[in-house]
Amino acid sequence: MIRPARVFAVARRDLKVVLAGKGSWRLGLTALALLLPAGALPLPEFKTPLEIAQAAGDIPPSLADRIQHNPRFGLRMEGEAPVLVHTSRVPPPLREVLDTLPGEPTVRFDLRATEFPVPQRGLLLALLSLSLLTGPLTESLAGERSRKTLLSLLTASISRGELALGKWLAWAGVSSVMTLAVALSGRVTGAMPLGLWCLGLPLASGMAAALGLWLGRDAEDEVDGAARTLRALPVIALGLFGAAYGLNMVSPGLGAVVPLGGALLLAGGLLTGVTPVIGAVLSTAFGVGALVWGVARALDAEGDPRPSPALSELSHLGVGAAVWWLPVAGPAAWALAGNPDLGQSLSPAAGVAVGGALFGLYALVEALRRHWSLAELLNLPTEGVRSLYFPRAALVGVALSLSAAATAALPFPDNGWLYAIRLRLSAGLDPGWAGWIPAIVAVAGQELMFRGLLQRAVGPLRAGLFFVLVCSPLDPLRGAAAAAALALLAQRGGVPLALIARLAWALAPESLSIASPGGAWVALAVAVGAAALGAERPLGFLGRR
Amino acid sequence: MNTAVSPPLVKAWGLLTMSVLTRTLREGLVLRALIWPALIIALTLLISATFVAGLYASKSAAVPEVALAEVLVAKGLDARVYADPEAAFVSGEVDRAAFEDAEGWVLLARFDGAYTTIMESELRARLGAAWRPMIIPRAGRNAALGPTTRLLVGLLAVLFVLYGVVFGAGGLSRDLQDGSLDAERALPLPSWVHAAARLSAAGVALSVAFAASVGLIHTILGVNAPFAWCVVGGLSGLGGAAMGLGLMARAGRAESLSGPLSRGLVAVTGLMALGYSAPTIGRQLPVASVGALVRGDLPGVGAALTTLLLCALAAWMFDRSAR
Amino acid sequence: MLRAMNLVKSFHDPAGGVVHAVAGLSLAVEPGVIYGLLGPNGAGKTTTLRILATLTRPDAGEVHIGDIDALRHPVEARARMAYVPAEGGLPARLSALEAVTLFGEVQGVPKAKDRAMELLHSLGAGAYVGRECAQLSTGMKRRVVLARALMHDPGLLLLDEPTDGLDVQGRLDVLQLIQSLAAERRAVVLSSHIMGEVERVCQRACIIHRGLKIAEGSLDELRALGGAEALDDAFVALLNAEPKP
Repeated sequence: MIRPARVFAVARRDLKVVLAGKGSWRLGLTALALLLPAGALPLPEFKTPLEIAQAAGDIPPSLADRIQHNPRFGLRMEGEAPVLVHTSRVPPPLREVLDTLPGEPTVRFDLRATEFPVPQRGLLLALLSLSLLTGPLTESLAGERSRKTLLSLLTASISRGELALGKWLAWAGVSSVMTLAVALSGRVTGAMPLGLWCLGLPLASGMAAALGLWLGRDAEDEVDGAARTLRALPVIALGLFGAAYGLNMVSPGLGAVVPLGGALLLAGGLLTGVTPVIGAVLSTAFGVGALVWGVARALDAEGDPRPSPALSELSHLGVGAAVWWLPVAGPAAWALAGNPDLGQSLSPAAGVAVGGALFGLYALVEALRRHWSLAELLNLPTEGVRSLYFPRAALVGVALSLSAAATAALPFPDNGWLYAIRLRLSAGLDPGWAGWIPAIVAVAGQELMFRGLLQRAVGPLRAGLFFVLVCSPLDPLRGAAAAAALALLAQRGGVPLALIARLAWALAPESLSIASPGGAWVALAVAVGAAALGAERPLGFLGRR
Repeated sequence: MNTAVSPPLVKAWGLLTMSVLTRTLREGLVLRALIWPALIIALTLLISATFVAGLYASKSAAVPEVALAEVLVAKGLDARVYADPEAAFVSGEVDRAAFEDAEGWVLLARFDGAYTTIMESELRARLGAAWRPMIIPRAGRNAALGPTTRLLVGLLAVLFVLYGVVFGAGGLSRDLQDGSLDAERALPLPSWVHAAARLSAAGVALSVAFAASVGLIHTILGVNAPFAWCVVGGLSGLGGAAMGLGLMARAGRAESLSGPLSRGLVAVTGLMALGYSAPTIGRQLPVASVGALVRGDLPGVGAALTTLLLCALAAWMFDRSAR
Repeated sequence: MLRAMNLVKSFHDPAGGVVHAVAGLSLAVEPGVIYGLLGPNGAGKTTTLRILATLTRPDAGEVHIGDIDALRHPVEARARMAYVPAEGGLPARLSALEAVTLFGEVQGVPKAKDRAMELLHSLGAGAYVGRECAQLSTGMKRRVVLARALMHDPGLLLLDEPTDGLDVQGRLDVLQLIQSLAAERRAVVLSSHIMGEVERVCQRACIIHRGLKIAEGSLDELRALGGAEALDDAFVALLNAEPKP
């Protein structure tokens, strides 16, 4: 049961606390500096570089007075008959000038591109109001927590829901009033006409306030709260706007169903008609309700021990995937995005080396944070490594290097996207093709990450699973066999033994590889067997060290 | 009593640097701040590329002649001969069409970009046009992307310089407050070693994180002069840290962090603006070299020397603050 | 072990004028003696200790640690003493063992990690060696700070309010530890405003007020000077006898 009087009391108190002293001045001045230019001042007219006929290089004398010479512009002209224009896209103003050359136009270029509606200034106003809310929202919840006033507030005769709703109301209200005031002043200055889009401003403010409170619901102090809100709020807002915009392109009005995204579309004047506007109101109401409920639940758990700040296992997986996939497989996206030239100019060797280096850095920093010594990071056994295992590790590596043909035995979908990415991600198991220096960096980084940090932190089984998911997601069986062999080796001699195997594998000549898939699978079995040989408890590696 | 023999200063410097570095990296907030920008940039680029891929991935084209189709296929387009290319385009069967009407040749395209430009180029070449577009052959670095990547990496460098100021001033302020600075200063070491350790720790953390960020962006976009950026970013981060440390040491306990921090931020912003507006001077100065490199001017040896001078000045101010 | 003569230190007051934090103070402490530095808040105790620790340079005066002129050769002087600030000064993100070992390594103590372990165990902090300093209780922090101060086996200990914030048991433990340190022929200068603990451990003390030494001697001599049986009363009487500014 929500009692409005209590909600308003909380809101009033929050405004008083945060806006006390210089708080109101700070907020007012920031609002003035951010919102007023965005909403109320007429924008100066300026042209982007692509709207001006300009070029670098040798502009033909006959066009010299109509094309601006700009040596820094990324479009170069050369020669006279014909004039060569080095670019992947000819800007329309330049095309217009070029078509005045004698004999032109030889070809009439008719671009019938899909129309992407451009949002109006109201969107900017709504987005800027998000950044305006960061400070007050941080003070409202995280600030109260660090000032120790939150607990006393929680002991008052007020429900958690009323408390969360009151705090939301205060800042959703302030932000709405400010943005609407700016919109009104925009009407006065003639910068923006008033319309249904204005409804998007309070909706976006309300949703942003709820989102900001929710993001900072368990922040330890103001710095933590501000960092969370600053990092996440703009990303979430732009992501939801992107999703809403995309849905709107599929079917006009459909974007309204995305919470916050719908409100931003409305503020940007991209929603027309009553039904989409009602949709935006409903989606905002639903979003605000869910988030405020989440904040109330978090307040319910106030004072309970908080979860450990250590990275969860899934975080390792996420970080591992990001630091390897982005540099190694990322450039494939350009080739697929119609810019093969850019894709080809990006060295895959650099990607492999950077991916490996990032693995290594991550493992080092995480070990430092866990107070591990170097021996612990390298997962070295306390009893030392028996010398017998060094040649065996090299043997395992050579056996693994024979297994490349095993991949061909598995079915793979006939898909250009996946195939291009698979080619690049194959560096996870076979980095040798990137050159020996990137291969060594990649192998060292992977082993520090998976056989060092993760095998010690989450156990060999899960570390092996993460290795397969991150380094050989499109070649999982071969990856699993390699992970098993390397995990077994690391149980006996830590990262150094696994590294010996990986180096032997990466640097073995390609001519060694067995051509038949069947033979390659036998090679993998030999590798796993050799790694397990002589183990007192061959399956002991399934447990955590 | 006291049989200890003080180790060489360099070893003490190294030990203190490692200690400051360890403490810094164990702060989750600091670590996330170092990682987050590059990750966001890389993800944004790839999401954009994927979005663009959805728009531009089509290579289909309709042409009226076999010879033209063959040339286009050789250039990577999926070109086919149609009796009525325009109809094929209008019906949505293809995304590009070239045909001749009463007024001459027409090139219809649903989107521009590399493949449309290749098609126009080949068409114009066959017709002997007075001008034609050509895709720039890129050998290694991407000259056309130069200004874009410079701006992108420049923004990242600006962020790291600001981090430098925060690290320098914030770290010292925290150590002043919790007494750990006094405890360290009571060690039998010259005072400048403590300043040097703080600066070298900040320099290492910022340089490595910046180099990793540049490396990541370089693999995805191809950064012009990545090594020059790593040098400039590392030196400027160190320069920012030196300014933060020096200003905080000068303020001492008499002032809270916000004063020296805002002075430091204003100073580095001014220096970067100077580098951008006067790159020939800026390339020889710490922090300003970021602005100069955004304009395309590689850093000079002077940048390293002046950064070291700035560090020495900060260490001197730190030393004086103890008196 | 420690001789300080005619120390003078003034600071500029941001509100205007000059603050005389220490105004001609002299003191001497022999090995094996715990010397109390007493005074109300703002009397100049911390500034005096910082001057003795060579962290603040006096405007005038001399400080000798053994035969070393500490103002001329501060680095050599610091090698013979340890200073424990009132805040403790433990870096939050280092473990207790890391914090103590670092001080040993920097000062060239052989097998610093082993010695740090030994000291932490002997001071009753053995169970917390791997825990980050930020997570330690106040009492445990004091033990770690003392272990750190003892790493290089100093002849002189300068302790600024070492029992501040401790509970009764923690305070007794620390005082006992200080007594055992003095028993090993170390000179200890202890700054405090708690008379009870001074009475418990100090052999000599001086009372300072507004940067001036107003009384010095054995505890009995101080009681006699103040004309009271309890040190508390003597302290108050001596302070009240001073002319108001």
